Amino acid sequence: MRGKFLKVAVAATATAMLATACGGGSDDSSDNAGQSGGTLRVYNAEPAFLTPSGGDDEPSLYVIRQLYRGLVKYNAQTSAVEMDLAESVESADQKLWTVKIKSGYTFDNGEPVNADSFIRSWNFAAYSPNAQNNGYFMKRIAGVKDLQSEDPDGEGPQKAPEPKAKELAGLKKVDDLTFTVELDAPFSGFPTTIGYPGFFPMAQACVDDIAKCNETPIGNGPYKIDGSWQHNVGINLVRSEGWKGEAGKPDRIEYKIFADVDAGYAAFQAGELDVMYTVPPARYKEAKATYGDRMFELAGDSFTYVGFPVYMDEFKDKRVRQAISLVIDRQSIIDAVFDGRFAPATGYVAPSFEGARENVCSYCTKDAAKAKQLLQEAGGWPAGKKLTLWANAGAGHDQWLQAVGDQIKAELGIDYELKVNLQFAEYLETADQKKFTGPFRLGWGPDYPFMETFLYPLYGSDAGSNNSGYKNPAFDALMKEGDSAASMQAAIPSYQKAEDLLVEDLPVIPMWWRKEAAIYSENVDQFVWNAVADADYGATSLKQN
Amino acid sequence: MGRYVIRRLLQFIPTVLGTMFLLHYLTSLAIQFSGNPVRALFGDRTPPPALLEALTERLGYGDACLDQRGNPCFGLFFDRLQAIFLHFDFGVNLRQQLPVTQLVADALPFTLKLLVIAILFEAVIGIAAGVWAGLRGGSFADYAVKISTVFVISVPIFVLGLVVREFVGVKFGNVLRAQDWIPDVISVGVVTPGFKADYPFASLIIPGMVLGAVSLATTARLTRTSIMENIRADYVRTARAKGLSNRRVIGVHTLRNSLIPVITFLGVDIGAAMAGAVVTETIFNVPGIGRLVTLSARSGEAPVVIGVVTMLVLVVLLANLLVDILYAVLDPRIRYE
Repeated sequence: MRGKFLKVAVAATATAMLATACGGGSDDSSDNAGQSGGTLRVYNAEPAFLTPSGGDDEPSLYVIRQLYRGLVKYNAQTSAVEMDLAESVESADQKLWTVKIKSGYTFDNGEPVNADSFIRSWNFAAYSPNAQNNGYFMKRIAGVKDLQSEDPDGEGPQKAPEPKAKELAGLKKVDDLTFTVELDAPFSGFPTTIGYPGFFPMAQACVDDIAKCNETPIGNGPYKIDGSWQHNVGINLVRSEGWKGEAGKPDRIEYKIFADVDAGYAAFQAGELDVMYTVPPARYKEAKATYGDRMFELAGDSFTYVGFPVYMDEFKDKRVRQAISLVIDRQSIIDAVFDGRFAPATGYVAPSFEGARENVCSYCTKDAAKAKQLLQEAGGWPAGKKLTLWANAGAGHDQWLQAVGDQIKAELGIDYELKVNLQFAEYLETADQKKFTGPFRLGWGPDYPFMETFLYPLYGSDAGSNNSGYKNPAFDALMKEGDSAASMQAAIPSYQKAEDLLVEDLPVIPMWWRKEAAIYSENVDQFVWNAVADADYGATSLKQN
Repeated sequence: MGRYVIRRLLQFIPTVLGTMFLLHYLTSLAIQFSGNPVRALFGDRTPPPALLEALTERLGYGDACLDQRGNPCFGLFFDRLQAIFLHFDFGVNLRQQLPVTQLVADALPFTLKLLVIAILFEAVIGIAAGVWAGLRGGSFADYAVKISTVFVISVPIFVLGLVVREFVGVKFGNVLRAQDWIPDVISVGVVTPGFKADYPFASLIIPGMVLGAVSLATTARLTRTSIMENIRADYVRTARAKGLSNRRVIGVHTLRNSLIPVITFLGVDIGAAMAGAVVTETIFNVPGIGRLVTLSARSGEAPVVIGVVTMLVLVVLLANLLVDILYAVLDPRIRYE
């Protein structure tokens, strides 16, 4: 097949129209779906972990999502929650959830996928001495605090004691295929959270020897590992005969591991990869020109914002914050600095999310006259004081932040300085300790497709990632109202009201959403992009000949 | 000879310890000044303090001295030495929590293959070109070698690597791959923009040649000068006067003596090639030691950097020792007592 490169190229040009028509993430009807078979070769970076409890970064999740399956999955276009291994996930009070699991599913080693396999996995993740990255996601389940040990003297010589409990008090097995989950507080969005790989089940054999399970995963999904994880080289998956659900399209998925995205792009150009879920920023324009109809683009849900240290006197008045946001022309910066790889943000919730509204933020489009007036009403900017703009070093943020500073200086006459010398680790520690002395760049990606993930974790009074120090009891109350609404749909109006408070108070300036750009080769028949889980390799089909 | 080798081996100890302390101090300073690298693992999500602490402790960044700027962390250094020399425990890396010894064991075969290809390439082609030019001083061959080596020597390895990847691996390779008659080993295996697990040896040939290219020029020029000097030496004239065949005069008498500086250079160059591998392996996606060092230096992983660089230092020291012993083999006048 590789020898027939030119013929394939000609054929592909001829069917280019067709390919775009049915490619690009449209997997709506099964009769229209591509044929199964073939080997899909995909770009990947080296994953961190291949266990559901450990893997929380993009390269890990891409592999885990094909090896494992969870209670629910997400619709490719609408990101709506659909039952996967679960028969039902129901609650009367949004606090005590009953989960019923379909029977007949097994792990690759023959162990059944039952209530125990989920309880085991969640307990293992939450127990802090296990130091699993996804322990974070268990935070809503009742009793999670008892599984986390606190060091009595911080950095001192004493070791942290054993946690009080080994198992989450909120998880109770009812029968083999039923268990209940009690949350600390009502949360209507619970069903959306459990489609995240951190909530996927684990076999007893896996938990018993987690190191081995990481190298040779014992999955329960449509694919299983062929051999074991070849670190820094590749991971090969083949169809799993034990899988009872909808089968994957390719017979085999080969993840080729690259340390450098440019090296991956060169391999794609040389025809060695079928899918690259990302494109090197510097090659974006070229890739778009070369692979135009084989490039898939979507305004994603990766959020960049410039936060205000609301704990500082200068930024306490919301009119100052509004004025600064009003002088930023987002689109011009995106075009000049990023070749259009972002979409301007006009609200706090990703546009693809249910309940998101366009142009909800009236201070997010440029209006210099209004900005000057607001700043004047607020009493102006302290004379002679420089505005310090913060970003972490070495990630290319200084360029666009300078553009932001220039626009502020030009319209409002506020002189600025850049503080862009902190490495990422120290920068994040500065954020955790609330030591920023001026507007700071940070980002956010959703944990699950539910409006709440963009609101409470960043702006709730006691939320972990609330780096601006914003506190608004009305906001907290509205979030609580949404959390305890009767259903996910019923929660949306409350969350929207909460977002309305944010667009008025502006604790952070919404900047832009990253556009996802993936490229695929001529061998690919239908490329499927899931709005939540990103590139879906199991659903992507190859041309058969 | 035996005593000389033992003395040299004993000298390794202060060198290795000194290097390790420098590395330890530099990586500790990096953490003291740029923050706990474990926090960076979590990105925008602020981790619960209990989790952050458990992970920091497990990964070996929990020592209190890492919070005090400028503190040389002697306690931590002795802990590390103890772990390394008594338990052969070099620590774990940040993201996968894999032991450094395993990372090195996985990566080493690739780098060794790459180095063998590079050294073979520069030795064989370099010496051949040097002899060719040296025997015909001032001829076309001499100028051809001189001019072409200037070209190679003036291109930095990262430029050469990127250009070769783009134009040989991708563009030229795509032309070859379109031809049915060319076997896959050539069109897919050898002419490739990067390492491929399916062709573990063939796909390393081009990266190895790129790695060897810069030193190739030096090798050729060294050989050329050395040959030109020796060809006029008395013992060569004597050999000719004895009526020895030209092949024996050049091959045994001249070349053997001319190779001493070249061998020195090649030996020292193993160390330089290791440094070059950092660049070449990243460009050509070779999962070797060089790429490992690059990645771990970027994310500030002290145990990996210390472990791997210490091993590299040992390799360079051993290579230098071997070169010194080779002198004695090549030149009977050199003796070690």
